[in-house]
Amino acid sequence: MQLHPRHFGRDLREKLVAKLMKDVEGTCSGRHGFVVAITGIENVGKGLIRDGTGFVTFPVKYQCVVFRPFKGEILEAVVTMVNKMGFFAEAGPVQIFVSNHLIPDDMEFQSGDMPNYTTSDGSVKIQKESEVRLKIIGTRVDATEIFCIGTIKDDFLGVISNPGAAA
Amino acid sequence: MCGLHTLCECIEDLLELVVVHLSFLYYLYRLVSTHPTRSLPLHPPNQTVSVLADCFRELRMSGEEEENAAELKIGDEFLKAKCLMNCEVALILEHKYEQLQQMADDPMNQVSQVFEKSLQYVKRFSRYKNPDAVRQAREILSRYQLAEFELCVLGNLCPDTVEEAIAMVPSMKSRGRALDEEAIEKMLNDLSMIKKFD
Repeated sequence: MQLHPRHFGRDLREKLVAKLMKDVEGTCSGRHGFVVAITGIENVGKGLIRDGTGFVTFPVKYQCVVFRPFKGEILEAVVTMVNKMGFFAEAGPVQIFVSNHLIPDDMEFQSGDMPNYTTSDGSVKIQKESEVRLKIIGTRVDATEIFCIGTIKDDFLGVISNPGAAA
Repeated sequence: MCGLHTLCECIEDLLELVVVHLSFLYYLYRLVSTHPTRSLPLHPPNQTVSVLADCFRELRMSGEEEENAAELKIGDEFLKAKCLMNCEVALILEHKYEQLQQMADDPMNQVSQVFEKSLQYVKRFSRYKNPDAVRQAREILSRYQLAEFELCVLGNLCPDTVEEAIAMVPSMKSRGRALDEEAIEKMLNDLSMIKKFD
């Protein structure tokens, strides 16, 4: 963690922690996923002055809550958009796309001002704001976000509750 | 995969140590860079070490990439790490949010979008609302020699039947674990009791 010399003084540690939180929270890496919140600082090591700039680099060991979806993991998500290709869902900061090939065959796309997927008997409906349980089959990580492909075509997967309906 | 993995790891270690044999490394680097599958710009010799190390790290990572939560292949780091259930994360994040609220009048400006979205998500999908129930749930689940990851998936999804539980966490049934269906059923029953009294 780099710190400008102007912050040196009595509350150096506080400044360092504040900067760490500002810089690290909300970032995303391929190995660890999203860093949601820092929960504790384990230790702050000795600083190292950088040549030329005067900045000092401190090794900081910290604990944090991360969010990383795994392939094969089953989780619950909220549907954000439905179109004829499939639907998008959101699990916290992670976007998940479920293609219509991975939606059970008996569910048909219905267009209209509230596009949705419905079974032929109309008993099950996937629309915006529905809560679905899905399985992740692929992940792609880039610098700022994680994008997943999911499926609901398996046992015990699918809609949990719909907006308006009693949960 | 394992062979390739260890090989790459070895080479990676070597590369970090043997910085002296630059000429040899340069030769190796040119081998890699002229390989048909990757076209790298030619770097000056003093940069080759790091570029090479990156190449091999990438190669090793691509082998590791084959994770599968169904078989509990989630990487060493995550297997050892403590896994939290949605409801636990909700408690932590809410606590942090309250702290921020006390410090500034406008906490929404302070927190990142990721934090905000995560908080909304875990709040929406928390099975157990009060801290005592959360603690009890973890206590019950931890009696059954589950991996951290398995524990959390069960805690998050709260399956009703044994089949459902096994479909959610297939690794529970594989590898000749000491978990039989009766044990799973008892676990699920205990879990549903907490929910009832929550």
